[in-house]
Amino acid sequence: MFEGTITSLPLVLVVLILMSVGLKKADVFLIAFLSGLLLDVFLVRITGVTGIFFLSILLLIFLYNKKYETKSLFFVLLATALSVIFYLFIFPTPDIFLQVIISTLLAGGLFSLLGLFFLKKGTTHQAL
Amino acid sequence: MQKQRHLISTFFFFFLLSGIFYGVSQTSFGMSTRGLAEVLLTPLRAGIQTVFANSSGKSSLLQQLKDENTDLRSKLAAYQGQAKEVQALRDQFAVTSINTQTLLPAKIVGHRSVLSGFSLPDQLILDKGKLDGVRDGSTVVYKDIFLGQITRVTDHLSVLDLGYRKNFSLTASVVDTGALGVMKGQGQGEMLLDNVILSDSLHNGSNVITKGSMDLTGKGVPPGLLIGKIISIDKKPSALFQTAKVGLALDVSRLTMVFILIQAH
Repeated sequence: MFEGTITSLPLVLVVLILMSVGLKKADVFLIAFLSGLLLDVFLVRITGVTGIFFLSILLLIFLYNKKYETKSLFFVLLATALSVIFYLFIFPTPDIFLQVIISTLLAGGLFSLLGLFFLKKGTTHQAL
Repeated sequence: MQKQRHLISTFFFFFLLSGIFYGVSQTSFGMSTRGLAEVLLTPLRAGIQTVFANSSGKSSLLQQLKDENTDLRSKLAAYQGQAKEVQALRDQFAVTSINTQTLLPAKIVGHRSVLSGFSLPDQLILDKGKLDGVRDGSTVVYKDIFLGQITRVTDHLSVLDLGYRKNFSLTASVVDTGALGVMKGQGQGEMLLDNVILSDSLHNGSNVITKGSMDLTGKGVPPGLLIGKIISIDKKPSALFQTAKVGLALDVSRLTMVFILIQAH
């Protein structure tokens, strides 16, 4: 909602990348599809185009996951940076460099926070 | 292996579905369905937009003075333009008729900047579309100030490219000296008056208005709309043209409503 209204930062893309890295389930495709449709309505784009982009990025991440470990901060930062650059190239908005930096930092921050949260949860369960 | 097949098949299913949506969206059925979604979601967006606009734009004495200043500049530009017109009529008894245009008020439902409150948006999304008479290329104003042109329209929404957006350009003239130039957007609220011949004089503080680029159907930018004022001049005797930096006439980030010039039938 925020991406469609008050900011041009690709927040949905960042969240989808984190979900694909964290959950590794095909359900993320459904979320990508639906969020793509919503964004197309908000941003007055041709319906379906954003969804196609999101799905393609997620597929690449899932295919990469088959060969290599993706649950690492380095991968999240790299995947976010490259995806955002590509996204802003296809859907041009100003200040590409600033947006890439902020999105990458946001993704890294969220990944670290979620990692800490799940690590703590895992420790608590083990203790019990 | 089964998991991978499930993944690939899920991807292709949704990819195909997106492709179908892409194709159907070009048809009248797709557009009307999209229009329904726009109508349902617009009030929610307008609400978010209002909350953020109010929280970042609290009025103060300084802001009120700035608004008054903008108002007076707009009136001054209009007065100077009218004085020139009267003079031209007196000299040559020329009579021109421009198609009547009506103003359509439009609420801003999307205000996309990198960081709201810190950077200026270069596009605004408005809650009026084709069904309200908005067309690609329609001029958008606020009071007598030129804001930009519509570049994308659906049934209920339209995208406004602001005048300072990169790659946006239009012909402009300086009110007091009559110098002609091309106003080019530089992004982040900056505009450059370029291609002004060296023999024309430019002064700091002069108002810059639209020259006008309307066609026979009345489509295009009407003349006489205030763009901004000259804040600095770059004049080199060795160059072909001189340039001037033009400051915005108003703070776009504080706007909640604009007006679209609609061709009257």
